[in-house]
Amino acid sequence: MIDPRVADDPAMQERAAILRGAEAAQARGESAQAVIDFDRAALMLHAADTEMGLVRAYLQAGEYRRALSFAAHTAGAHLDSAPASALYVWLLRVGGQGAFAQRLLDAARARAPADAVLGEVATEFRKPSPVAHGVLLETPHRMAPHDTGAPGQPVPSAASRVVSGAVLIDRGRRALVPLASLPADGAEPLWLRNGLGRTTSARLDPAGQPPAALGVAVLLLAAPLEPPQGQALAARDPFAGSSGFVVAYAATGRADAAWPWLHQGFFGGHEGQTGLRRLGIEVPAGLKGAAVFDAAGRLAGITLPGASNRMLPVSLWKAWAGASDEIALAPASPMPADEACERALRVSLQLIAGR
Amino acid sequence: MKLRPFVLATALATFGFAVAQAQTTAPITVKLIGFNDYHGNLQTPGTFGVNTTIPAAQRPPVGGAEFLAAYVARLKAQNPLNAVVGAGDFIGASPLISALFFDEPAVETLNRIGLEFNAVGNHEFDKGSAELRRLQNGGCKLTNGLPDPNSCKGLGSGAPGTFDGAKFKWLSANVFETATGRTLLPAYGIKSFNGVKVAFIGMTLKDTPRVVTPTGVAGLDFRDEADTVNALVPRLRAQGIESIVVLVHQGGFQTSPNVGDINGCDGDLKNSNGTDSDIGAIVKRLDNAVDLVISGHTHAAYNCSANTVDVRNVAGVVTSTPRPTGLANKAGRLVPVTSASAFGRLLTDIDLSIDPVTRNVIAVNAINRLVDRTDAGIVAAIETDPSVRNIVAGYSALVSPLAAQVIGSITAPLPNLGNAAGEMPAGSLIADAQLQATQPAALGGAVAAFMNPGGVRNPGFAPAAAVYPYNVTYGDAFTVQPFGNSLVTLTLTAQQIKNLLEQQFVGCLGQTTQRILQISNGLKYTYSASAPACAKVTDITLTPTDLTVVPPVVTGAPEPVVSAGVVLNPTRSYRVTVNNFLATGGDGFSVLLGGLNPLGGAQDIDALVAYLAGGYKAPNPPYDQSLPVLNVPRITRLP
Repeated sequence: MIDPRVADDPAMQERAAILRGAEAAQARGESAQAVIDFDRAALMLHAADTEMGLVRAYLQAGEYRRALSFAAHTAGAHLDSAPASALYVWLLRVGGQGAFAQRLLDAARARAPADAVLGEVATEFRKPSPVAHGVLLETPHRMAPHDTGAPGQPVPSAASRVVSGAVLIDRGRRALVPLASLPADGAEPLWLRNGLGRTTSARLDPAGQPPAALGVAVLLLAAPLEPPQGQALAARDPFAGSSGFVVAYAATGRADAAWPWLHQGFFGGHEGQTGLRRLGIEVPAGLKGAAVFDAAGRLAGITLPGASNRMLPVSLWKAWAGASDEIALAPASPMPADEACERALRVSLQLIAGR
Repeated sequence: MKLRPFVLATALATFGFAVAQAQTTAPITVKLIGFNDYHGNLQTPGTFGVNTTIPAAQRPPVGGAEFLAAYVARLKAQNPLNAVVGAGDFIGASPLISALFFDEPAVETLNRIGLEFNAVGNHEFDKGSAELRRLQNGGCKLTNGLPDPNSCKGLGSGAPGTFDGAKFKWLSANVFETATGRTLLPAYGIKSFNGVKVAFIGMTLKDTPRVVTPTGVAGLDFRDEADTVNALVPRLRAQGIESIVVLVHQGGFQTSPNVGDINGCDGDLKNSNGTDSDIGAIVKRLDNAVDLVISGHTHAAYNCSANTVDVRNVAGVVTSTPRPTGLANKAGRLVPVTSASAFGRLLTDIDLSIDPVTRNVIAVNAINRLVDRTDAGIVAAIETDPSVRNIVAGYSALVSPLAAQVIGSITAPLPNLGNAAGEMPAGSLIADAQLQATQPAALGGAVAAFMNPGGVRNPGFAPAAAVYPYNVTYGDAFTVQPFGNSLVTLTLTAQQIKNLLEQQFVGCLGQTTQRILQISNGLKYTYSASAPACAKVTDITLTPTDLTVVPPVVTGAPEPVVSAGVVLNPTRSYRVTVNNFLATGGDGFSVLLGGLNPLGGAQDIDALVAYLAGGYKAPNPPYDQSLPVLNVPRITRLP
């Protein structure tokens, strides 16, 4: 659509200022304000940059489904904007829709073969777990959340790095992490960050730890992270062959905020008499400590380090998950992948260690 | 034209015509329900406020196909004289749930919403005119000459595997095929209300070729909107039509100084430099015969009509002031012009008052209304009729990338056709999977499994055009086992097992149809087809077999359960697995109601996935039912 208001210089200057304010609010983690500002700008001009800002603001507010839906429209309505297509296909893949994302990416590259953003996305998509960096982190299409720390807390230092995934439990007050991922001397500061970029410092929970044989530890968060509404633990371990989700971060060796990747597949069976499970769901090599959900979107386990894809099912650690975590007893309907992804953005965490 | 007072009716009354005659000349009211730019938003696009003064937290969730359908139904119930119309872009630039299936879900839900006439928009041409025609007329999408697997899911069509096409009419008055000189689709639609015809002319913006990829509009000529309408007016009048509604995929924006209320017409939609908006420029040249313009394209909400309100926010004080308006036409008359935002957030509720004698529209009463998902009456209506919600949920499930995942391989077709004894290759595989899933002691400790033949759906594991070894996908498996039954492991005595197998045949224990149960590896039996009812099963043998390993391993000596028709140890108990349908006496198998110590387990399809993926997925060799360790056939039929 060719918007005649683009010729109104004063209005366009005002719009540019509003967009700058919106991006600043977004960077501070003030998603609600960012949505208001981007909305105002959208009322002034129908343009891809504003709509991409709205997509990211929805996402940083935790509304993956709304963001994905609007990103679809932004990409379709602004075929002249290669970054709009790039952002959409990135979000599709975040939610496990890799095949469709690749199809759209190919079509977008056919329209704009020289576009740097699309080119970089294509390069990353050839990797098992893409990583946003360089041009992919520029606005308006920025393909990662902003790192927004809890008030009054020290932020992760430049020398820190993401060492593992982690799983939010106990209504956002604690987190489960692979024991092997913790720094050996215990002296390094630790942070946890969700898929919305919310970061808080954390420490080993002094109230108690699971048996070391389970291979996991419990961290206490300095400031709770908001869990998804109605988050529940699976009442029982998933049956072999049933479907589920794993939501895992790419390993980067850095400390950047990122969106995790959702993988959907079928659970494997028990592994001997250990109580551990073969994960079954095919997940590329990357950070362990990823959150595992059953078909109904209930938290069902955490992936463990090691050569084989294994998970520690919820039955073995729910005693440490906190009495306040609700356990879902009733049968539940299968959860669509986009809804599971939306919830997982708050549950699947990055564990960051300082240096 | 238009908005004439009741001159004729008044005159007739003055001259003493009967009351009954006067009643027949009373104005009729026709309800139009309009919306635009649906863009395949089957699911809610999020929250939306009636204007920008509404804090984000107070904006209700809006939209979604089932809510649109319920709101439309509510409005239609207010007046049987109604029509549901659209202003284009109902497909294209759509979310995954519609786009993945070539926008067939959008069309199917619009059919259920009750849409009747819809202008083409620029996005209707995203995939070209041939694809638009397919969506209008139905039929499956072909990819490389073959039906695309993501087409014809048929959740909102007449049957699975079909796509009905649009039951509404796409209108394209200003889009002509250069080869034929004809409009691509009908120029207008006509609906009659108590004998009074109303015409709906549908158009897209003439600049469509500038905003669509060239291949999408190849061979098409997009003509001026106003000229198109004005040329049609004499044709419509020649048919006795005086009530004319334009559905046009072109629009404008509200401008300062107000707050963009959904029933506002701020700045009369003029551009900030005072020039006419695109829609304003079209209306300005329209023939005076046009009574109403329902517009779209800009995704803006506005209501330039007798019901326009100016909503202002001055220092936090919000005021709303009526300001009847419209956009001036060629004759300078103000014509009502509406737009309902986008994505199914709003509906425009319009009452046309029509003089039945002159057939002219004499008043237009338009209101934009939120499609508010928190409306209790609407929520209750959806509970009463969840059909559209079910379509949305169905497509939401189909979007899952799981369907294409390979769960295992097979060396040969495993159809659901029974041999002479009634044994199906697909049924044997399923029974084995169910036994494997329930064999561990903690999961049931089963020694045998029985599967009802009706639960093994067409075509079995034998897709048309499959090449073997064939990679079975989750989608294939779901086709065979779509019911979501769960497994139940029960304790049956030897006598009950005998009775269960006798109950397969007509006339035994109330059975009315022969249903040969599919049985798991390790179990074998023989029956005599000519023997009397309840005395057909002559021999049953159970060989303990561990199916949790691949290939299966025999773990004990064969145990005769029935020999020469005699149950050898009638009270000996066995743990057997069936699905919950059978466990509750389904298909007439009432014997299973006597099973003890039931233990619920996985879903049937989970068991199948686990069995194939755990043992017969690459790099493991494919499943080969001809191998002796699988003991097929397992049922022997004697004359």
